[in-house]
Amino acid sequence: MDQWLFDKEDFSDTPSVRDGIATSQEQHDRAKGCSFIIAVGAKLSLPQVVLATATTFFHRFYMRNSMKDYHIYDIGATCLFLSTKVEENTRKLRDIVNACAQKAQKNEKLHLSEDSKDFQKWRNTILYGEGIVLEAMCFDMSILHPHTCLIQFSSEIDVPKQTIRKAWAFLAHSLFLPLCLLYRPECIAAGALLLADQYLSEEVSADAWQRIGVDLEEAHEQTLQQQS
Amino acid sequence: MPMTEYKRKRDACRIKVLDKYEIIGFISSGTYGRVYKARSRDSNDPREFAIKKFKPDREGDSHHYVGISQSACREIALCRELRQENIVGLEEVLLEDKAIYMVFEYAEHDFLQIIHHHLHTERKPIPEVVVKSFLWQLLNGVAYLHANWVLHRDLKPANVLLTKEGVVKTGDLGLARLFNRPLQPLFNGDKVVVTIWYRAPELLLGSRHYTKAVDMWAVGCIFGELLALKPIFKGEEAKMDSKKNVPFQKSQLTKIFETLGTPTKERWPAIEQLPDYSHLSSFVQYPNQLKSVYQLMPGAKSEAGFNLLSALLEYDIEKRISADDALNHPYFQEDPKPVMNVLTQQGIEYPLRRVTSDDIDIKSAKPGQPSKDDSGRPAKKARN
Repeated sequence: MDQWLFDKEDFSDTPSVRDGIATSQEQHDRAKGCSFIIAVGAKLSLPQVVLATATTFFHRFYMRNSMKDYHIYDIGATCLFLSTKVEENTRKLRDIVNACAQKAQKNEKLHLSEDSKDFQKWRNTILYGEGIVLEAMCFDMSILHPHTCLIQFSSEIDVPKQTIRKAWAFLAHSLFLPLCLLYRPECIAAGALLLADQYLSEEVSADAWQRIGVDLEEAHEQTLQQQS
Repeated sequence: MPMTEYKRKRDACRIKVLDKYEIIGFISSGTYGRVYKARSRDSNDPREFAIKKFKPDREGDSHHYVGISQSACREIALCRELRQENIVGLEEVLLEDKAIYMVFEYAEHDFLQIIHHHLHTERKPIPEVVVKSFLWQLLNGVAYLHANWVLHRDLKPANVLLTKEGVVKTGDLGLARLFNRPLQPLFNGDKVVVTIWYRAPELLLGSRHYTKAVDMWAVGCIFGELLALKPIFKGEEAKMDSKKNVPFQKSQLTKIFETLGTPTKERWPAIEQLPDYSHLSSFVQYPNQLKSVYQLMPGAKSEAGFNLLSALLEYDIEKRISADDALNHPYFQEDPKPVMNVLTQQGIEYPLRRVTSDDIDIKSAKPGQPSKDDSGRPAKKARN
């Protein structure tokens, strides 16, 4: 687990940055890759947990590999494919290929026949990428998500349903950001809850935070990161 | 650079299974693939390993290859997170030619093999200190899994491995599942897991909730089997019909009721809520015979042992003992006390696991043949 937590400074020394890509460009392309994963996932009606796992794989992958070597859509598609298996929400590879092609080419009507060149290219990319992604991730595939922590919190402390819903929405939006590389999932969940609470101006008592063992300082810092 | 270039470059620097390990025997095979015994080629590393090779889904049909199998994915994901003395350790995972190799620490024996050895070869019960040490370590491993939100879901003697020193290593997490995720039900359509003889009564009565208590029931069955040298509830499995309707397991429930008594609302209040509760009226009213059954088990001696067995085989899942509580049970405090390396300590040597050497070509793409099974027992592992 610890090998997947980084400092913010590490973002200025990633494989992509070493390959000459600007830090800001890399962060932009990370968001673009995640956005691709989320769009393909929506097309396939995949639940949030599959998307969260796929984007986590994606962010981890580019801490070890360069965007110059591996295209973000190729890796995004592979991460999503792998995530459907890990999270037991499998889809037919054919459907994943078609959803990827539609989103990549921004053509909702596109349908690739199975013996077309494009279909085979996507399919082979995903299947070959699977091994590369697995090895880069050292086969660490069990991911604890802030979503799960949020549900846990909501059963342990008294928070209005509305705040939980808002926090969940913040978590859904946070998938674009590499938060999973910077903070523990409990902390991200707490940050989302804090942000939701501020947003809705509902009070969550101070001792409630202590009960769930969250470092408020860290959560605050994290909230700022989400807002920016 | 196109993908094919990368593939060539990458494959060239990838560690090959056979460069690192020497295959010294074939252990078993199942639907998932095959298991081999191996040793490291590093002469400074004397350890032995069990290498599980998953066959790719739809093997031999590269046009329809759909990547690494989902069950391999799940097992690797879990095993990577788990490290404890009484759980089989995962050394590493290797990928080669679309096949996945999971390299596990090697365990010389398993409970099934030892039960058979005592039943057929020694014709003597397993000594009390050995049974107690085995059970304590099995519980210790299960307690660790449960503390980490993992349900094993397929505990049975063949899946509980043992080193030649006597250290228990629970293995085969192929069906194990994380249960801290409210996002997904653990019960998936027609997939009911847990081998029938070890399946908890709430599952047999249609419950769709897998809980820690399901594993604890199986531990109770294994404890009973170590004492009796035969499965304590040996029912006939009703097979799924052609319409894939999940059958009602009347024979298995009858076996349980004959020993533990037919359950009542008083004894098991939640029974009324189970989907197949209506079937209950079709059963004869049996009294609870566990005490006399226990006394007839060749290895059973202690009163505290009986109390622990009945706490594990408790109908009401609210009252069924947890792994943590079982570890603190008086049975383990009275003499003989459990020890980790009980076989070394007692000077016991069981026959080594039989491995064959005529089929050790780990690279061959030949699909695994399910192992032949002389007793009709739903076991996956080969045994002596």
